[in-house]
Amino acid sequence: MLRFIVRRIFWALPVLIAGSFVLFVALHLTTDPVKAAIHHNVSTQALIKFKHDLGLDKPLLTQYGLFLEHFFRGDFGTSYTSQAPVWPALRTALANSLVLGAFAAVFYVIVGVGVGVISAVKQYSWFDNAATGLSFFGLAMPPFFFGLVTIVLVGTFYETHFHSSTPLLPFIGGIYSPTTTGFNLVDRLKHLILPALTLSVQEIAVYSRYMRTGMLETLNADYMRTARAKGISERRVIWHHAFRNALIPLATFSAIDIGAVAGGLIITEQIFGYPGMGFYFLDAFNNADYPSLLPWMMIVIAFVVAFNLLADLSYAWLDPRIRVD
Amino acid sequence: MTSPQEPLRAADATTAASTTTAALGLGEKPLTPARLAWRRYRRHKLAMLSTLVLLIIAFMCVFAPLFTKYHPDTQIRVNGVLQTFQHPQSGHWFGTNDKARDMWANVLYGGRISLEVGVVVALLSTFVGTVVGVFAGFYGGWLDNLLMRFTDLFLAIPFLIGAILLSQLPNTQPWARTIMGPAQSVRAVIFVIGIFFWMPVARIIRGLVLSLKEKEFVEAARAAGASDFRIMFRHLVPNCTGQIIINTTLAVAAAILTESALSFLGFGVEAIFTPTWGNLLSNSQDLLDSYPFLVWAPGLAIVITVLCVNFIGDGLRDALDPKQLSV
Repeated sequence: MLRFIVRRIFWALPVLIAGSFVLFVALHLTTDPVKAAIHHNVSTQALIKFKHDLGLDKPLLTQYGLFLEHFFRGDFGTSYTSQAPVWPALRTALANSLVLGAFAAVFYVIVGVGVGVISAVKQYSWFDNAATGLSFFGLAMPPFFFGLVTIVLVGTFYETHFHSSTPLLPFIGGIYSPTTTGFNLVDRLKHLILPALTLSVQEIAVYSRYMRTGMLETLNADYMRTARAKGISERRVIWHHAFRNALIPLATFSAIDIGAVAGGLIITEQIFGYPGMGFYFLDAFNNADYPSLLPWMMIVIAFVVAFNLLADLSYAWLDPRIRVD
Repeated sequence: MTSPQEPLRAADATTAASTTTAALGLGEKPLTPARLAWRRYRRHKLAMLSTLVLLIIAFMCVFAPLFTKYHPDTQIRVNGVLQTFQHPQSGHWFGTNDKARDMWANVLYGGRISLEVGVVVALLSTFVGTVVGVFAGFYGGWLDNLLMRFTDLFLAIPFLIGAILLSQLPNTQPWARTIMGPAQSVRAVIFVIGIFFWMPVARIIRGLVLSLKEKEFVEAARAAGASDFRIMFRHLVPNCTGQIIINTTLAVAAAILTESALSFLGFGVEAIFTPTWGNLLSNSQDLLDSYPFLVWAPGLAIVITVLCVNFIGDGLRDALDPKQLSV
């Protein structure tokens, strides 16, 4: 097992380097801070100096090496648009996204897995049919369309039908209401509900489908008959034998799925003006804020690679047959 | 889900067994795999219904001029006054939008582009994925390693972020403009989405080819003097048809959704020139309160289409998945 872990970790490193390099080149090709600076009426000399200061006149590989060096020394540079250090803004965005992501993940994993298990145990019941129908709808609905509908539901619809002057839940921007000062758990949670729900729609649909298929497969496995023949109670058979084995593919999927969640965060944060990593990215990208984007990209890639690694390891840990590989 | 005709047919067969032609099965058409699959597909009621609905939607979009007298760009005027934000009425089924354009015409013409993006992305990515998967699985060794690591690399890049970056490439790089066309053109959007859609297909096909290439028919083909290329594309790929068709179908749905997501973020097809369901929806996103029909029309078009495509994919899986051939 130890050899397996070490090998996988060593495999993750080149993927991290290559992936970040590809994004580095993509960023380099698509954002042109020098061009963006022209809008600010700077002289040619200032531009050349600016380019030199950013290191943009060096060869690409050198630039990438320099960036890595700075990044690992914790030197994140200065934002081109705000002229402030990158790290504090990035740290806030990262923390906000992690809170939202984790909050949503707990929700969609529990609901998705729960629905999937019930669907499989009561196959073709009304619950199963309803869940299947809803999950197809969830998969067919563009997340931002769902977000817009929830905004209207808690906003205008709620206000007119429940004679309220305030929306049921806040949906415009920030993580706190403007009147709130300091840390306020209730207000914070209120600002999380709609974004988390929007982020969860597709995930719940996918998870419940996965879980249902996985459960059906294990429920029909031979070892289930064996377990029942030994006189183990049905509850124990389902939870200890079928459920645990059905979780194996799901564990892997949940880690690989992190890329999709990252994409979902970009959309969700844009809908609700939630100041996280997605919001940060679009803001910086639209301003060609190269120094802000580089560390952002490194962090995102690192997360994706780390979660893929986690997927491999969890798979091996849960299913000993894989380790032989 | 057995259809009521099945037992009847079986009964017919026994009574007719006395006549020699029927007993020998001479009067019946042979049951080819395609025919068997079609029989299984027909049993999936939702898939059949979805096929019908999707065909109608596609027909109306392709032959849009038959169903609306307006061009999507036409600004509706009555006595010289621009008719903006008209509610749905007899002449304008889905009302008119902020630019006084007929929404029904826009949804029909927009559907052309959305469906085009979906279908072209699905076909392109399936083609690339199949080629990569077949080569990796068939040759194995260093080529397999190289291609699969390449696939891993693409999987490590969060897809939406990659797509956003790529969508701006033609703005700064002339060579990208020659390949993709101008940024946010239909061609560029197809390219941007398609480049992140081939990896799952490649993995699936590689896995299938890995096991298929050990089969006797490959050995037989080789003994008959078939070249590698012929074995790959005349023997192995046709054996993956089921998976290829299923994945192409599901990619259509995913691509349509992705197009709308990119539009929402402002990186989709440029709305001023070309309507798509995605940009129609994102253009009216602030109007859900005041003019809900402008949001529901393109929104439901996407939901219904994607729903149909997914049901068809489900039906095809039942019909074509080799694991279920015993049905």
